Amino acid sequence: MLPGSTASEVRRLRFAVDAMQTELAALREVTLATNHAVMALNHDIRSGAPEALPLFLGWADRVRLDVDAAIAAVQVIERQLDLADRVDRNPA
Amino acid sequence: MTAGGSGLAGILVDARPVDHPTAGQRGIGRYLTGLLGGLVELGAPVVALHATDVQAELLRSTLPPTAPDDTIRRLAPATLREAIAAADGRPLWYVATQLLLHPVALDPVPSLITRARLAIAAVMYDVIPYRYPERYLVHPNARTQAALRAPLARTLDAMLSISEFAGDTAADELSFPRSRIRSIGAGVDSRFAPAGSRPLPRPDRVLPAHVTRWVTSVCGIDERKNTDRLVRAWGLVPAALRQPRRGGCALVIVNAHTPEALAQWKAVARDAGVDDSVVFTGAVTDDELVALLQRSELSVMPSLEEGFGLPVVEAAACGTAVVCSSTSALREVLDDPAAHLDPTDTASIARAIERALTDQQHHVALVAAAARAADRWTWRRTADDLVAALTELGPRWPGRARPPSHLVAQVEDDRVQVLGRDYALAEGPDGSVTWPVGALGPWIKPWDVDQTVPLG
Repeated sequence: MLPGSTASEVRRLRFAVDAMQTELAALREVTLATNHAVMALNHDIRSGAPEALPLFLGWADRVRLDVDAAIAAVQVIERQLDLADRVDRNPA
Repeated sequence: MTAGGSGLAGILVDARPVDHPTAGQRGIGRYLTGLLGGLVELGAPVVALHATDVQAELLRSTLPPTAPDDTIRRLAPATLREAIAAADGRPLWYVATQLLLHPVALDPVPSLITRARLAIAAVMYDVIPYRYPERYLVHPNARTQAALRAPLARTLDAMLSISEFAGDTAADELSFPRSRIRSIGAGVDSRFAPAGSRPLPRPDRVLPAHVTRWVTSVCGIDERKNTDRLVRAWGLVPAALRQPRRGGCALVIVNAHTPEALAQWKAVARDAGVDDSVVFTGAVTDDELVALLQRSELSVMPSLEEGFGLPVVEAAACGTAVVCSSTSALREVLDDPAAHLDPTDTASIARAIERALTDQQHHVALVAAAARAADRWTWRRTADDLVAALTELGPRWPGRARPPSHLVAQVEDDRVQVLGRDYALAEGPDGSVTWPVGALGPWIKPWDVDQTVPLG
C-alpha cells in the first residue's frame, strides 16, 4: 500500500489529510460564493456582455467541480491510509 | 442476524440508489431491488441501508413481504454498531452498489464504512467509460472522476461482477486482482413473463393498427447499441418478410430517444428503403414492453458491447425467441451459438433475423435456448452466487470490524465542529475538527454522524 512507510509516517500523513480536508471545505465555500456572484452579475449585465460572461461562468463552475472532485480524492487517500494502518498493525 | 448456513454475519447493501434520478427506475436501481429481493428469498442476513425516508418507503414497496422487519435500516453509526456487535467477529460485508455511478460525490464508499473497517465488495456493472473514454469521458470532470474511481476500487476487498466479461474488463481497466472478482450475474423482474401466465392487452399506444406481426429490439441512442446497423440489416431481409401491410413483420425499435436520434434513424430507414416497416416507439411503460415482447416473433439485440444485456433475458422470460451478438457478456447470457450474430456485420444480422423468421425448427431451438437463459438468470440464483462469493473470498485486508464511535456535529454560526472523531491515527488536541458550515452535506455526510446539534 505505502511501500517503506512507517507507522509514524502514516500518522503524519493522516494529520496532513485532515488538514487538507478542512482547507478544501473552506475553498469550496469560496467557489460557491464566487459562483453566486458571477451568476448575479450575469443577470445584471447580460445585455452588455453576452459573450464574455457565460464563458467566465463556465470556468467558475469548473473550479467548483474541481473542488468536488478533490473531496473524492481525499476520501480515496483516507481509505488508503486506513488500509496502510491495518497492514502495519497486522503484518503477514 | 444469522448466517443462514453461509458463515456470514451480515450483508449490508448500499440501497441509496433506489431513488437515483436517472438510475432509480432502470439500471442500477432495478438491479439493487432485484438483488435485495433475491437475498431476502434466500434467507440471507441482508440489510438494505438507506439515507432518507423516501428511500426507505420505496424499499418497503419493492421488497418481498417475507422480509424481516429489520431488513431496512438507516445508514448510520448506530446501525453499524449494532451489526458489528451481533457479528461477534464473523465476516460482515458492505456491498457498494454505486461505485461506478456518476458522480463520485455520491459517496460510494462512505467514510463511516472505512472507519468501521467492514469488508467491502462492489457490484461491478461494466467499465465501458474506461474502455471508450473518447466517447464517454468527454467532460474534463468526468475524466477526473473516472480517474479517482480506479484507486478507490483498488482499496476494496472484492468485486461482484454481473458477468465474466465485466469481471475481465474491470480487472484490466482498474488494475484490480482478477482472483478477487466473482461473477454473480443478474435476474429478471417477475413482471417479465409469458402471455400464458401474465396476459396483457396489445400495446395499441405504441403500435400502429396495421402491424400484426413484429420483431422487437430494445435499443438505445448510444452508438454502442448498434441501432443504425440493425435498421440497415432490416433492409437486407427479404422484402416479403418485412411488409406489415401484407402479412409480414415490422421492426419495432423500443427505447426513449431524442428528436435528433429519431431523425437520424428515420433517415437511415429511408436510405435502407424500410421506412414503412420500422416503428420507433419512444419511451414505453414496463407493461407495454412486456406486451410487445410476449407477442414478438423474435427479439434482436445487436449491441456491440454489454456488461450483461438484460433485454436479452427480459425477452427470454417473456417466452420470445432471441438472437444476440456473439460479443462481450451477451454470449454468456444467451450461451447457445445458434442464437448468435456478428454485430459488426450487417449481413450477419440480416441472416440471423431471416433464419429465425423462416426456419421453424431453428425458431423452436431459439425459444428453447431463451427458456434456458430465463431459467438460469434469476435473482435467487444471483443472491446465491453473491453469498457463495463472499463466503469463499473472505476479507482481503487484515483487521477486524470495529464499531464507529459516537460522533456529534455541533453547528454554530458559520462553523461546524465534529466531536469525538474516532480516528485511531489522528489524535488531535481535543479529538475534534472544525469546518465551515457548508461542509455539512457535501463533506460531513448525514450518515457519518450520530447527531447534528445547532448551538446558539
